[in-house]
Amino acid sequence: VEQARHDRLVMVMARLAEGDRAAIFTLYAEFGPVIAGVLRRELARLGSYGVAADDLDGLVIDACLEVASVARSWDPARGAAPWTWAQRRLARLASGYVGIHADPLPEALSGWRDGGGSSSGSSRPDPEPLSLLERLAARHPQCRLLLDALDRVSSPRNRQILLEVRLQASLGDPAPAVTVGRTFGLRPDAVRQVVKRTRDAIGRLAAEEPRFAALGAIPLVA
Amino acid sequence: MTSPESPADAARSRHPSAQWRSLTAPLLSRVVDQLAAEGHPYPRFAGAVLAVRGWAGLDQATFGRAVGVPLGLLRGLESGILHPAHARPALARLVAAFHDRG
Repeated sequence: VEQARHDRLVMVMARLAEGDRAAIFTLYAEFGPVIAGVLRRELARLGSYGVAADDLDGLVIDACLEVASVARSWDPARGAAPWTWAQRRLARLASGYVGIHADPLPEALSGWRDGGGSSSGSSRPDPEPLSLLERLAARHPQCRLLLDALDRVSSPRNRQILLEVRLQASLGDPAPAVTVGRTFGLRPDAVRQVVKRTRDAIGRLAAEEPRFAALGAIPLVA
Repeated sequence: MTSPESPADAARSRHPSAQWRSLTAPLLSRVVDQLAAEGHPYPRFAGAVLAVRGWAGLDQATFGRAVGVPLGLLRGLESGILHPAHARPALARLVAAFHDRG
């Protein structure tokens, strides 16, 4: 079985080396779980555990495209799997992912502090969660997809409310609708209604349009 | 009577990598973006044909024979040069089913 799988991998890599774009889908479908395992190990090495399935899927896609881009240089006779041979590239992807989630935060928080709030208080939400998502969207396909979906189904105010409520909840705020309601001059039940309607709208978009299908499973929507 | 799951199988099924499930839409979206950036006139259909063939795991010649599409026509459709209307009904149905499946 292992030999047959290796032969299959060699064939897929040969197709990629010839520039056959369909082979990227084959690589992803047949070897994605192995690549996901490699990426999980890299992420764990960097101290990032429990990566969301959508984020991991984005990384696996990036990794498949990386492997495809260097397929012509891979030599099966050397014995290493292409993702092992290209480990440095995959490590860079994992490092970039961890960096995206770690590096921009102090800058975002410094804007919060500059606004006069306290970095430790939960009475005032981060004023720029949408701009943070836009920044992430420039580098992360799943964030870009979410941003596109929010653009399609919600007003700027409602998407700001949704993101702020989720941000407050992730910070441990036991009543995020109350906190965000104060900021926007809304009753908590109105905030909850906006959140529900926006989440439902994204869920419908995910169900109806294949391009947005991946959003159906993310915690923000599911 | 079914045999109980072995400890090794149970451990494998609990491992995080076993929870990963491939999704078609995001990768297709990336490939379509690439084709569009390269200026191909019909990137969405081309991407879908590539995805169908890729998921089938077939080379162009084998896939073309299976769906009754001449190699030259298949290459034109996959490169996004030919209008989707050139696709033979069997291929068009496969692409439609692929989109329906998501």
